[in-house]
Amino acid sequence: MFIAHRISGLLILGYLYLHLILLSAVLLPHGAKHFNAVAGVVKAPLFIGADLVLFGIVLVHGLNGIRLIVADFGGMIRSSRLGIWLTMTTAALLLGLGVLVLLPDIVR
Amino acid sequence: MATEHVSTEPPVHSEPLQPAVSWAWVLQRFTAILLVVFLGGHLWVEHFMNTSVAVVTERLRNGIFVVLDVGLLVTVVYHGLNGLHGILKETWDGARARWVLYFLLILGMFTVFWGMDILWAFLYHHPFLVIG
Repeated sequence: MFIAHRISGLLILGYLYLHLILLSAVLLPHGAKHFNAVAGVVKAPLFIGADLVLFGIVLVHGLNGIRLIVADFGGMIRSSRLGIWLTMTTAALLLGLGVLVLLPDIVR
Repeated sequence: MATEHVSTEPPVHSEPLQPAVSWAWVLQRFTAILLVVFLGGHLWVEHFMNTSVAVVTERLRNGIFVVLDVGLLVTVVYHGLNGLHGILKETWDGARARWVLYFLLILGMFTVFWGMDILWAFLYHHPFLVIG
């Protein structure tokens, strides 16, 4: 989980800059036209699928982070099997919920 | 002929080890909890929005969204770059670590201003932004 936390963190940091670059379309001359074009492109099923992959990475990083905070302040063992199992199960359930919510946008 | 000596010893730190609880340590956890709230809200709000310049401008007319968006921007940049700093300082020590810290500080300030410029473009119609 130590390595997974770092890799997911770096991926999310990379996405932050990708996100800012795409939103920067609004800063171009005739920014409104370019921004709305970008917003139209990222609605494509392929991008929604990529969003779900990103959502999964965010869930793993966020829930594992909560687990570590609970371990730091609540006296749980950092490498507790139950804690890791709870983290991954919750991540899987929330990702499943995300898939259900976004499915209509993928299969149109 | 010069031979390369590869040390198997752990690197010797010239500075005393960081205290177990530092401000950076506390802030990393504080921003983590804030991010669960800010990012959760961000994903929720953006999902139910048909994103376009007009819609974003309309949303940002409500001042609470400006506070939430700037709050998310600052916390995500601090948390992300401090996390990266934590990874990098394990590989680099001494003068290089300080150089990395300064670089990340400047990158962080640049990123916050970049994000704010994007927000301000929606709010106050950036000189380049032509609507319609």
